[in-house]
Amino acid sequence: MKKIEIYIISALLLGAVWLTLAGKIEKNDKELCPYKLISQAVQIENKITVDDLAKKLMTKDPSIVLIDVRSADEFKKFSLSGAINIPLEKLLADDNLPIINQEVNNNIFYSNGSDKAAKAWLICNRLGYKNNFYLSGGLNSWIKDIIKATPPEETASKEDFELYNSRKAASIFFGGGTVGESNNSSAAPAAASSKPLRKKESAGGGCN
Amino acid sequence: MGPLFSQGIIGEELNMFIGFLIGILFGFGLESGGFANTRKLAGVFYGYDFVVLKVFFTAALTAAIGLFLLDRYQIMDINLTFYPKTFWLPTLIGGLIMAFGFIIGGFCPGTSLCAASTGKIDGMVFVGGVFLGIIGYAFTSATLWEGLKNKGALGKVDIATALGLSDGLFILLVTIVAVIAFVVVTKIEAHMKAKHDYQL
Amino acid sequence: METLERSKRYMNPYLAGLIIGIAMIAAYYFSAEGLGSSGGFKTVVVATTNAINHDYAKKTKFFESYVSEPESRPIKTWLVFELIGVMVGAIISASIAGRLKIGIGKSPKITNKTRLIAALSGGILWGVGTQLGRGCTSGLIMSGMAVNSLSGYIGLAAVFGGGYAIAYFFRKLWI
Repeated sequence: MKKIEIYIISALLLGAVWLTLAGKIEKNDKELCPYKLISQAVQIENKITVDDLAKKLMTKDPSIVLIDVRSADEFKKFSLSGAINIPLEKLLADDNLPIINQEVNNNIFYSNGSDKAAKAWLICNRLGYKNNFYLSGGLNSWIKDIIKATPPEETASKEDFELYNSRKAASIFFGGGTVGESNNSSAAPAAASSKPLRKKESAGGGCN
Repeated sequence: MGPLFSQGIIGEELNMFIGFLIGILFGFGLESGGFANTRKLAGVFYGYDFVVLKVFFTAALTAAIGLFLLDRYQIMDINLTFYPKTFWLPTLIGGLIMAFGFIIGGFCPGTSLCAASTGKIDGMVFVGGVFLGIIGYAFTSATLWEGLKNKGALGKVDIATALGLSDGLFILLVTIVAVIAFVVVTKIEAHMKAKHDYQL
Repeated sequence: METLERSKRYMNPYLAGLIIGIAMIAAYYFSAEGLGSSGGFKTVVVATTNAINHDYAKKTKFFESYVSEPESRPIKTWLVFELIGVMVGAIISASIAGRLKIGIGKSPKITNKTRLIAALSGGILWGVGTQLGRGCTSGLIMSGMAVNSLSGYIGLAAVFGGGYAIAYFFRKLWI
């Protein structure tokens, strides 16, 4: 056997022995790390799609309370009509507790992407507060899919066209586009925020 | 604490670039190990060249030991990584189909790509075959495969836990088996090479 | 003997294995991905089909989940970048060792035509097998073994066990 082979094989054996002896390090299970909770958040039925939200708002569902968890500045620049502003940092302030810890309304958190809103949901979920949801895709999806709804390709399926029609109706309802507006889907959601939204947020990856 | 991308520590573009760099390392390892040479690959089944077994087990064990050590010392959380879910029946049947593919074609997809990019015509043909196979599967999936594909679902199964061992002990056992195998196959290889004159 | 000398220029197999193992650790650490191949091939097929006929891709179950879930795509394309890297890495290694030349790898006892037909058939079988079995040697078996996944070991037993079981019947192709 060559020297290098002996080195590598010994290293493997030593590593495996070390691993066996290292055993299981006690992981603090009580303090779940945020990204684990995020992945939990993605799995449980706790988010609402922009299409569902649009339907609920158009039917004037009285149980819906929109909560904007972005900063006050961002809220001032653009927000969904009827939304109240509770920046994520102030989520658990005394004044806000009656809003998030209640049994009557359905709270829908939203932010630019999904992350911040999902965090707000997580905090509420861990505290055992019910009836909270977050808007999947956030304002980015809202602007892109509803307000600037683009017609599907001509070859697209019937479902696509139905979806588009309902989105277009919603868009007009919310005062976004007009009939026959340009279908430039790559247009940035300029109205949403003066600062460009980060890609990662819409990808719904980890937390930051 | 890793994995970095899942936690948003690195962005999408950087992640892709890192993927490219990791691919270079992977491709370099494969090619320099001889995996672009179909004769060396097939040798593992006929006893004249066990390079596949050596490279393969060294790589898998290096990764396993490294990953579980990183997990132990909380440098990386293994639960957040790509973890293949177990569907035992389709994996078994798919594996047997792949076994035929391996013996007949003399490559697996990754090695064929190495062979194709280093000028092996059989590698290029093989890559074309893989594409044809996937397309063929895609267009028949609803009628032929869909039922089978989701049979035998067991979820995320850790083999060590299933056997009632710790992850470390299981890896140690596999390492010991692998080292014994390394010694044995080296002897077989020398014997076969002395007996027959195989051209690689 | 010329052929023997050439084969000597291959890297020590354990060292090559160590390099691949480190690449895999890096893949898991940075991107939470295993080293895969067939997944990247699949992405190319899906993307191509989607570009040619989006409607069909959306209706067919095989493509559907890839086409309609935008969030699943970045991770899938990671494999494509990885595969481009694999090609570059292989070319670098081959050119350093002087193995970069057009040719057909085969047993001297079979014709080029036989070899190419066998390679094509083998490729097709792999294409089907990887889709059914959820990955190939790298993505299913090696990456699976790296995290002690049962499916990796099932794949190992099926591919290599099956290979040894049928090797005898195809020996004319190789020895």
